Amino acid sequence: MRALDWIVMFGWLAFIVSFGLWRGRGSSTTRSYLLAGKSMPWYAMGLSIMATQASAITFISTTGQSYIDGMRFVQFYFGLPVAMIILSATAVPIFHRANVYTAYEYLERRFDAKTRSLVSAIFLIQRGLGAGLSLYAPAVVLSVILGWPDRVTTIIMGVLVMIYTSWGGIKAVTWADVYQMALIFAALVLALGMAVYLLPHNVSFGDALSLAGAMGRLNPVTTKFSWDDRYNIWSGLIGGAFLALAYFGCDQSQVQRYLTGRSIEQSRLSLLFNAVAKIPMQFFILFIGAMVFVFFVFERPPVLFHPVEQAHVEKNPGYGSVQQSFEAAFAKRRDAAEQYLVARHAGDEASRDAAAGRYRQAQQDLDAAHTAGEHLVSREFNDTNFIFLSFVTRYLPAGIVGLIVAVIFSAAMSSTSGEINSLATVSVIDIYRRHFVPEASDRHYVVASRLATIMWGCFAVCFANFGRNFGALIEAVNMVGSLFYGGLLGVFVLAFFFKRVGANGAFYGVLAGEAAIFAANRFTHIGFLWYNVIGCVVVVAVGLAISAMTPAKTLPA
Amino acid sequence: MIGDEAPREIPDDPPPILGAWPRVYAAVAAYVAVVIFLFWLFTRAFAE
Repeated sequence: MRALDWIVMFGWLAFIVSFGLWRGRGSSTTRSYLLAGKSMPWYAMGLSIMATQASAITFISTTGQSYIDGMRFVQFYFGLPVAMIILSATAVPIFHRANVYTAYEYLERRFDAKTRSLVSAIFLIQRGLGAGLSLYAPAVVLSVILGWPDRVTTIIMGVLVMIYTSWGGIKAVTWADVYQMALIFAALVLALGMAVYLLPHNVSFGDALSLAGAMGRLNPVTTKFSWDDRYNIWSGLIGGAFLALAYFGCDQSQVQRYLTGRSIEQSRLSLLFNAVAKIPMQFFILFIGAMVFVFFVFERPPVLFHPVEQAHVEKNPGYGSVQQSFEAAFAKRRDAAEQYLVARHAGDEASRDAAAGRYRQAQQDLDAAHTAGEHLVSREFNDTNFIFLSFVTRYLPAGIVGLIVAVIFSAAMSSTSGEINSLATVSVIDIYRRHFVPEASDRHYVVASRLATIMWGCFAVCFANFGRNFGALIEAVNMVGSLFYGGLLGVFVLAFFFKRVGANGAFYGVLAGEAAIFAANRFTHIGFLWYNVIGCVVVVAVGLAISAMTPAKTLPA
Repeated sequence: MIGDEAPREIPDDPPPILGAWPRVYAAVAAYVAVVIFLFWLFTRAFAE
């Protein structure tokens, strides 16, 4: 990082914290602190929803995933628009009319207090874990760039988020998210532009596409079905829709965003904005990873992208032979790529196919050398999360590096702020007010919400220190969600669509659904996106079965 | 007590375009289908 990078990065962080504090002023009642007085326009909610979901992990890990595995991860989002349409038609008007602070408050009206408490507890566990992981990602960035321990950077990040979130509540969070997303969009365009611009002058954009495609990196749609395959069009459309239904319909970190809307119309528009914009945005991020891959076809990458592990591994006696194999494979791949392009320009298909074969063979050799390098490291680590950062810090000019680091900070801060804000809301509304202090003043609950925000921020910081024990961060976060979301979704499906199902059916249905998910995780190899489907189906089936065995109960109007 | 400010009635207005929400949902669904189809074409175009 050069001086200009530091100025850009710290300037942005100072701006976003100050802006959050300024926009959050006047949040002195529970309704304004937790629901922004139901005054938010659709674009602010829509961008905040997007910002809360797009954590720093999205930029660090997704680009790396595309570099390694191609763009097929985008299919994960194919079900999201379907979910948004369903939620716009169902959850948005139901929650708004119920005039609730949390989605789980609605469950007590529909079922009973124990169902509300159970689901609130599930949310607090899974979102608490998720908040820690979201915070850990930028700590990885800073530990790489600054050489600081990631514990220190986690604490700095956590404190910044806690300052404006605890002070200004959801209004501060939402308006800060709007600016953070604007910066993220700008930086994404800039990163892609730089990746293409830095290609050798004799490699056109069309050549880059062809080289990425020849290596299977331009594969956003995989139609072959497999239960074990995490990302194909079927798991994306079905499993992804269930996950998005659960995340946007039952997770308070998202529900709270659209509960701040000034009308049902504005809340619906915020979800539909995400339905339209999310897939192209993810495609764009993955495409950056594919272009970074092509860049490294011509520019020799390090054996390991993780700079600290690379430095360690260089001292290993076995490194010499690994490096030799790696450099030989890189040269072979670059030569094959050049021959491929010559044949492509000449329109010689036979030569092009032959060169493509050598190009792919060289890639296999390079992957084998990379894996051998990874095996020289004694502890477990995942190199994928460092690919994009390695490109940014080594090749982008001063100022842009700082901007992209600021984006990663922004992404982490926006998701963490939304998470700890919602965790505080559920803690105060569904637990503290419901079970411990039901009749205090409004001011008392505002203070309690601020303290709960700080408490959850501290928890996230502590948990983030265990983040290093997880593999690819993005999958870890999605995995944590998928262990719990099926159960959450099932109980809301029962609440919205099965009027005959009573409290016991819902309560024991959730327990059965969670048991089924953990059993699937422990005893099968089914891809985690399917856990949401399994959990939801089991909750609904058990809920219906129990209700069929018990007398029908009149529902509240 | 919590919620000292009186909660106001939440209006359910029609969408700003297309006149009715089901039409907006249909338009979004059609858009997504087109996007996925374009991605499929993109995959085929660059698959070796």
